[in-house]
Amino acid sequence: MPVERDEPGLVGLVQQGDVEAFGELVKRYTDRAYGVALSIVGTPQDAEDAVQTAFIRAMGRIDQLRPGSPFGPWFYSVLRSTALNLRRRESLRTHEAIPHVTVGGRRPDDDLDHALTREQVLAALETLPEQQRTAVVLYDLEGFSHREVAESLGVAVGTSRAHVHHGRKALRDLLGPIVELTDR
Amino acid sequence: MHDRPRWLDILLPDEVTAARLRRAILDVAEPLLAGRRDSWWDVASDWATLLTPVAAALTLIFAGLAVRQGIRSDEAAGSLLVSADVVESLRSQTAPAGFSQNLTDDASIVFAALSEANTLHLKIEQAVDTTDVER
Repeated sequence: MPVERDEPGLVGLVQQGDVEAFGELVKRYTDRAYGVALSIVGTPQDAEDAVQTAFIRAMGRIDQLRPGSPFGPWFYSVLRSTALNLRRRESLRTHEAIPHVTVGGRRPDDDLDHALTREQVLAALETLPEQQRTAVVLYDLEGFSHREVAESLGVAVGTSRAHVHHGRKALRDLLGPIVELTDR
Repeated sequence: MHDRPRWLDILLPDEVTAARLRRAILDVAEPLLAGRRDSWWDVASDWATLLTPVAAALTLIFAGLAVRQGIRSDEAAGSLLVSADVVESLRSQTAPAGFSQNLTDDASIVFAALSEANTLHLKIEQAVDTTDVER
């Protein structure tokens, strides 16, 4: 199999039960899917569960994907609903909110050597409305276009733009200059 | 893909976690994909093999039924012909008292037509018989 195969081609192969093609999609998407799931569920273990479940679910429903359609936005809509269900179930099971980490503690004169911790980023993301948070993560972590973000969230392109704009602004306010400096 | 900032990369998994996650996904997916292959191709071809003789048998049965139905239709059509005697006997019947004269006239026209048709039918049959005899 060639190293770089186009996604619709891979999807077609997966629809025929090709394990290698599915492995290629898993390889391409697992890392960033984990980041997106983590931003929704808040804990590494739940993020792993969400990604695994979403991939299996996506494989089961792969025939719903129209020929020639990109896999990414569709897969992230599956992942998002899977992660939200998991989060809902977990919060019902534990009867408590997702652990909230304090965002503060950074001084304005902190330099860039003091990288943000994952907990700080997650805590800041947690303060955003869910759609806004996922829009920012899909745009800034996955590198999706607004059209792809909109497709994943099931909203208009303009709504995606607004979510990313407001989400980034809120994160900059919370996390300080690092976000702004690296936001290019 | 646009130029994305890197500060969210902190959410990405480390290599060990990513590898473990990929392995876990594929461990679950492989048997399911194998089943998918069966359902798409192998099972379809198995069923096609199994159903071929059944389809052939059904075709034969329906073809036989269709032929029989055709023969019966011909017989039924033949029985609809009315003999000349019947037409003549009906013509001789008088209409009941109070029966509309118009209807009686219409009946006469119908009987005349039936009589003509029967005569024609008999002529054709006789002509066919004659031809058969000549041969």
